[in-house]
Amino acid sequence: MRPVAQNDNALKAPVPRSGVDPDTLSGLRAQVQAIEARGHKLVMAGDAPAASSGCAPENRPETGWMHEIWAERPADTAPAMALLLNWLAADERPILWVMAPLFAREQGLPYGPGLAAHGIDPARLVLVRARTEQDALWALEEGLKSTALAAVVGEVAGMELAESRRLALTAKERGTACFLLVRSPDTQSSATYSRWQVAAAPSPPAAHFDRAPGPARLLAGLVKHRGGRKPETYELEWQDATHHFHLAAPLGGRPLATDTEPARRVV
Amino acid sequence: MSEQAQAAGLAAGMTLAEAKAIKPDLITHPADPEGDAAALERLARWAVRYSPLVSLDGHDGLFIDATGCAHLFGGERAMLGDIETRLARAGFQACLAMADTPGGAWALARYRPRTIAAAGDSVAVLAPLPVKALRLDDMSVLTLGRLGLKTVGSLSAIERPALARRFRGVPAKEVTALLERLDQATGRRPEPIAPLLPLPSWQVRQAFMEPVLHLEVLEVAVRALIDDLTLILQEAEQGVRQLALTIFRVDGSTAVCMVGTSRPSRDAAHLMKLMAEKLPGLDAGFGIDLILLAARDSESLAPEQLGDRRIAEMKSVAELMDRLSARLGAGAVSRLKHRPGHLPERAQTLAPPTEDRLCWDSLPMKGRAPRPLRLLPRPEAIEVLAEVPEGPPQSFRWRKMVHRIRKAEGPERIAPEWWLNPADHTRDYYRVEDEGGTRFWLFRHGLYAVPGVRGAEGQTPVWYLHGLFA
Repeated sequence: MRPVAQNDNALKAPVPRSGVDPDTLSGLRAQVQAIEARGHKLVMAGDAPAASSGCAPENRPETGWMHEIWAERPADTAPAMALLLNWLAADERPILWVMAPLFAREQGLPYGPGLAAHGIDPARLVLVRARTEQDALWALEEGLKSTALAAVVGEVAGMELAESRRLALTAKERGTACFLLVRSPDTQSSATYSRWQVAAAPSPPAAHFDRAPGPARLLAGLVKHRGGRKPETYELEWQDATHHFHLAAPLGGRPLATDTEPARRVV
Repeated sequence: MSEQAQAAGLAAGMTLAEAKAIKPDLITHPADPEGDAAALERLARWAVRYSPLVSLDGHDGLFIDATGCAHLFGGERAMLGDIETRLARAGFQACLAMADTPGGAWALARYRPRTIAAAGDSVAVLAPLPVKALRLDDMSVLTLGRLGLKTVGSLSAIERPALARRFRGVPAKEVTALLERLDQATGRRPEPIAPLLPLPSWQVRQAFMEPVLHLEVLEVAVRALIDDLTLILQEAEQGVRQLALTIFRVDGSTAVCMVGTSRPSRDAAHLMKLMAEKLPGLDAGFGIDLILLAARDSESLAPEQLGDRRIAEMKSVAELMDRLSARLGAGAVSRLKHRPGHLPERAQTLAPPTEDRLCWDSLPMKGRAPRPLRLLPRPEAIEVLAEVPEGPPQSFRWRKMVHRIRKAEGPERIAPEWWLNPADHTRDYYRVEDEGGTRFWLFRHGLYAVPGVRGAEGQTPVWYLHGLFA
């Protein structure tokens, strides 16, 4: 787990509640509300207890549970995968990656050089290309029974409540984390502990050339959480220095489309 | 040819008309050499129940190396009896004999069936047999006959120099072949036989009094065999990489199921789990009367330190991969392997789970051009609006969706691997971001002509989408 205090951005350093000037606090709140009014909700680390609860998009969620990550659009599989890799980068152990037949064809396979760029050693992946959905579910369950894995990842089209409950139970029994990358968001119920919905977001201008894509950004929305966390959307930005996605700085994260003031670059 | 036909005066080599003349009601079948050869091979696979070393001999014989195997069947005599009864039950008429050399056994089986020559007795037992029993060609037999050498005994009684003198005028090769056959029969010269099936390192067996029809019973027996085998392996400090279970059905047919492990193992529970995946796929037919479990491929495996977390984890992952491969098929489980290729799709291959060298250390990390998280199995052609001759795309249509591009980076020019495919074109890769923020990896395959600089490459360059970025 990576404490958020390691983040080099001063804006995100946790501020002890007691030591904050009430005026500053209300000023910040007003600022947040102004941003919220313009679009999605941004969360500042000092204000949100997300990091300390262990369920921040920067930190790996609770092990021993099942977590679902939904790609908002078909092309958002890669951002959804990036959020997952963000959680798994700190662990060194192998990852069992189970793909249902449709996924490999439509979304391609995880690509080693890309994984390496995300701080994941491609040698950690044990890839299972199942011929049927049933085989994929069996492989997931078998993987959850092993305790030597960092996580078990499934790219499946979706499953019945009974099947997902079965996986959730196995994950809980053995204490292994189970992540499902689900493509089509629909509202079917499942036994998942948390559910995230991920979409790509426009990147800030690149440092060297403002017409090139800058550091990757994505919107990670916590849709459901059994631990009782409020649904919330976080905007994350890739930082080369830490090889990690961090909460995007609120100022730098202002929608670029307005262009009323020069966007601040995040180093 | 049956015994009855023989009694009626028929002999091999007669024409059909001749045979019909002697015995008009003769039942004939067209010769089917391929079918006979296949049947003989099936029989050889069945004979593995007696010894792992079985080999085909010509078109009508089998050699079984029974060394150290007879005691399993209650002695040599009982073993021969067992083979004969079982063959007779399956409808085969067989001539069997046992000797300490393949040549001796061949001779006895054909001229003194059911004989068992004790070790070292070959010379004496073979002496009264005709010289033809030495597997000689007709020419040599004729020559020997002319010389008055009718039996093996008379031939072996003559001293070698004298024999050579008598054969003056006969090609030396023929004389050597003759002497070699004689020596092979008497054991003076070794005659190795090539096994039909690879010899196992270790093998354990379980015969059943009653034919087994139920999976549960089979599972119990296999479990016991695996326990036995792992004990042997433990003593030898070996681990198995490939385990073959052969079942022998009562009707004489056999079936084999194999499991492989990604690292040497002698963990009975693990091996049983792998085997248990395969057992339901076996067809018991009319019942199974014998099972053989063989370690086909083994490697040294020293006893492991207990309590080492890393070793335990490695083992646990290897066992998981074995289980997955056993159930889903060998091709379903793989690992990503790096190979030094310029083309993106050639930079990564899928290696079997047993692969140790995945080579990702050789991937340069510093100063690399961006690479996507997912690479499509095949680049997908897209309709693109882009500047000509060179320039990033403005918008493109992929899978019926139009994406307007806001930002683009590139090109990263990747030359074709001309040593593999001289007709391939250059690719210009662009990393682009659409209005929604999704980042794609596109490339233009081929080059437009630039007047005064270069000619066109390919007809009309085509755009493809190759990967997805986070």
